[in-house]
Amino acid sequence: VTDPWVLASYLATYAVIGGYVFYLRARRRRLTREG
Amino acid sequence: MTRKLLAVAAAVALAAGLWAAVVSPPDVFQGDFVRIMYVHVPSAWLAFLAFGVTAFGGLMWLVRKKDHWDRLAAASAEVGVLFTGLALLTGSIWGKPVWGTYWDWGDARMASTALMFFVYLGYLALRRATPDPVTRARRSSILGLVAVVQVPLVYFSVNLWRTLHQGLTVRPDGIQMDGSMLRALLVNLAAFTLLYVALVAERMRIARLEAELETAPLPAAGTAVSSPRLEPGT
Repeated sequence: VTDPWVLASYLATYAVIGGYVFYLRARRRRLTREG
Repeated sequence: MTRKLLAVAAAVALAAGLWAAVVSPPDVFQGDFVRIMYVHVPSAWLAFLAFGVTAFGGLMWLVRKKDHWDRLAAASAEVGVLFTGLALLTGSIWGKPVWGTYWDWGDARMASTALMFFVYLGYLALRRATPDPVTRARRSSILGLVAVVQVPLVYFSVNLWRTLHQGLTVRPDGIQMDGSMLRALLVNLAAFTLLYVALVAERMRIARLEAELETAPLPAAGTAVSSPRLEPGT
């Protein structure tokens, strides 16, 4: 499956999910340090 | 430990979903573009579930006044906004090659989904703008209960107003989809559901840490400041 529209949709999906996971991890680590 | 297991299970399920999407057959009319459905539809369904859970958490907070219900409602709303954003994003990418446009404000499904996205962004903004935890929980619980009305409206918008978006595929009279495509869709739906549970669990944990920090007593001056220690002979 090399269609650029399909690839773009999957890349966008996993990039958004990955970004949110990293954001949550960073936020939790900062809170754990402060606590 | 449970959270780590959930995260691993979600990652494995997402990989399985990706594999199922790759090996599923192309559509007779749409060709490979149909594969976008395996991320677009689960994103939309999980957004509906997330906002339903937000309303339920809000209702339970109003009845029981327990903090964890408010944390559940808030966590689910934030993850719901993420999934709504994904549904809008992947829908736009799908729309360009199939409909010839990324966006059409005249389409009932697109416009109502965008409205739902902004209303729940407003829900999150309301929470940030209300410092008192009890007032915040009460206001957001009421908003969560009112805003959930949009979920059936968005879902049935394709039948209520026949515009650009296709009609319901999963209907009371049957599922209008080939079995191999349905299997791939169900695998991805299960993966996104696991991801939703893992993200909400993590977001609730963060909210609990924030609440603990908010209520933690400030250290007394005597314990925070220590006098300089003088060495003999200085």
